[in-house]
Amino acid sequence: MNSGSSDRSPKCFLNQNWDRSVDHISQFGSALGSFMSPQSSFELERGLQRIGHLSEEVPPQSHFMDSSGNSQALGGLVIAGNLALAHLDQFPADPGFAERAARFSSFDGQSYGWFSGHFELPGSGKPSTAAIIQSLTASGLQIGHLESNRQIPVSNGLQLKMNSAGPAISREEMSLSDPISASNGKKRKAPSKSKEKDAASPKPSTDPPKVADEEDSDTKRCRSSGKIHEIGIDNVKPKLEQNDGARSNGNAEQKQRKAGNDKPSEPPKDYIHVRARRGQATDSHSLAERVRREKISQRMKLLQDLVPGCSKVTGKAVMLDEIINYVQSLQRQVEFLSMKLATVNPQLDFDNLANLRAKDMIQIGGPVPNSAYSPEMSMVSSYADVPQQKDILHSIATNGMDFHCSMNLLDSTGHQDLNAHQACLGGFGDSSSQLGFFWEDDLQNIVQMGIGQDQEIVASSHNFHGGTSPAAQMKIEL
Amino acid sequence: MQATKSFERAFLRQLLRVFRLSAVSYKSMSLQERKSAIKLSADVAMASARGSRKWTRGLIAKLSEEDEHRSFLRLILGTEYERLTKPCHGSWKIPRSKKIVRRSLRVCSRRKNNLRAPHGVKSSVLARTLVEKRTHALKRLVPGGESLDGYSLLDEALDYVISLRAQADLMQKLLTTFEASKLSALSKCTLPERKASFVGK
Repeated sequence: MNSGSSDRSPKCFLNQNWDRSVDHISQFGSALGSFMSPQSSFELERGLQRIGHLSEEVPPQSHFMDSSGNSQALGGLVIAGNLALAHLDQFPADPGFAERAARFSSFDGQSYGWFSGHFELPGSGKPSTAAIIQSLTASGLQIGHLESNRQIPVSNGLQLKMNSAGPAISREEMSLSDPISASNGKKRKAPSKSKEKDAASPKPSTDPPKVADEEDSDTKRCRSSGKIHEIGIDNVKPKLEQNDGARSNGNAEQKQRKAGNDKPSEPPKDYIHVRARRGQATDSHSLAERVRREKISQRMKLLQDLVPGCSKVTGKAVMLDEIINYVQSLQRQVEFLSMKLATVNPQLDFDNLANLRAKDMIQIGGPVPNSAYSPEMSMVSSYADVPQQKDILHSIATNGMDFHCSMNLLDSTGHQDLNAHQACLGGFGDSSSQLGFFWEDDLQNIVQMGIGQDQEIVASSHNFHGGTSPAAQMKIEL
Repeated sequence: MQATKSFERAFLRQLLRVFRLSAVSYKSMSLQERKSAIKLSADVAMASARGSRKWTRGLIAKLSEEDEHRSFLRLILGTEYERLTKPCHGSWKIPRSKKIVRRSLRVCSRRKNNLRAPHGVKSSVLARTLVEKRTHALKRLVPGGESLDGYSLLDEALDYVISLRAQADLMQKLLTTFEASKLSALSKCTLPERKASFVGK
């Protein structure tokens, strides 16, 4: 409706139906006009007419863009499929509701099935009626919530902000035009109820009575700010059945982000589809905030897995505290290790360590396919005289090291490994000799000298596990 | 979550390379100087092994603040230094339109003012300040975190924690191999006896 290119699919989509329904449009427009403000109804009617004449002309977009944009026209589209206007007089005379209806009804990938389906049967009253009414109700309430028509530029602005380029309408058109790709391209983010994910074909039978109830309750709250109403046309029935009062289903046209999704047609714009939850505001700010909060909570969950001992912690502040402590402790550990390396370093003769290649280091540090590596891996620890190191090891160990698990790791190695290891474990007294022996055999053999048996087991299981870092190991054993 | 093998390999390679290069100068340094030099090289190795992330750039920027470090960094990183210190598209922040931001701030503040009742210390306010305090602390901890918003901060913190943990583990293992090699060098002379005694056990 905006530009020729974007008209493609809507054109073919609408043309088949529009001939039949074009006369409905005028009826509808006039009916709408009866309870809408003159200006908006006029615009809506004009929009409907324009939609009807899509094939013939490219309607000037500027008019629609200024106010609610083509969403009004789209609202007309939605409405046009529905002939039962009787319920509509309950709606507040708010010009923007059509926009909401359009947005909420058409931007959902799942709703396209409904949408197109309904457009093929423009004359079918009841099912589409219910659905439309639902959407209109929701949108009407939504509009009421928005206080005035002036809000629409704000939300449009938000849309424009979210959209990297192009008019806000083309986004809507794109959703109209290409249901499949649109639904594929959209990312559903809000954890709404499962029924919201149903690609439902609306079952007409239960609609009318429930719709009436819904409308009454809705209209009572039409100007209230807190309640949200369901827009999901695709989920009309299931939602109606469970709907006692307001339920939120803010279709995410308002909620667009650069999500990196591919676009249906037109300039690719990324947006995330978000459904608002029951009892929560659907205005764009809250939706944006909710998506942001959910992203943050997702990251917090990842961090929770990372930081040892945080599985039971809930709440942002405590979690942040744990993260901060962990980062500080890691930084302190690095400092301490660099100090230790500083003591070791000058005595090192790097020529002798020519065989100390990075590959060897990785074999010490990372998983190694050859079996020769794993058996003899155990950690040298001459740390008995260094309490700090012990503490660090201890803290790492106690954070999740399961003694039994470590023992199992030891047992899981081959027989020769076990023997070698038992020899290692046994020979605490003569640490230097054992060390020298094993070191001679293989660069990778590092004999464990016991600080305490648990630490030793911990250390050896570190190395046994191959590449996994001890912390990751801790996590596994947690 | 775990650091990748390539990260570990790159880190160790860099660190060993630095050790080899500066082994001579290490001999003339005091312990403290060596420690700070090793810490610096470990951080640089970690940043270069990780690649281009916000925290790596922040880290290198922080380390480059002193001129002496800068030449050291340049030497180690080579061409990568220029790439890593290049300012990243102006700002780290998500590009926002000022008009939109101003308008949304107005709406948000209006709503907040309307909803705010004259309470005393509300628990939500308290929780928010706690979170804010800790967010600031985390920003100070994570290199380059000052300019990040909440979500990116957590993202970078996640990555940073993984890399820090890998760094600590690898340095630990390096330490053990160094000490082991040292001990082996010491015990080389007495090897045959040791072997015999061990076999005897």
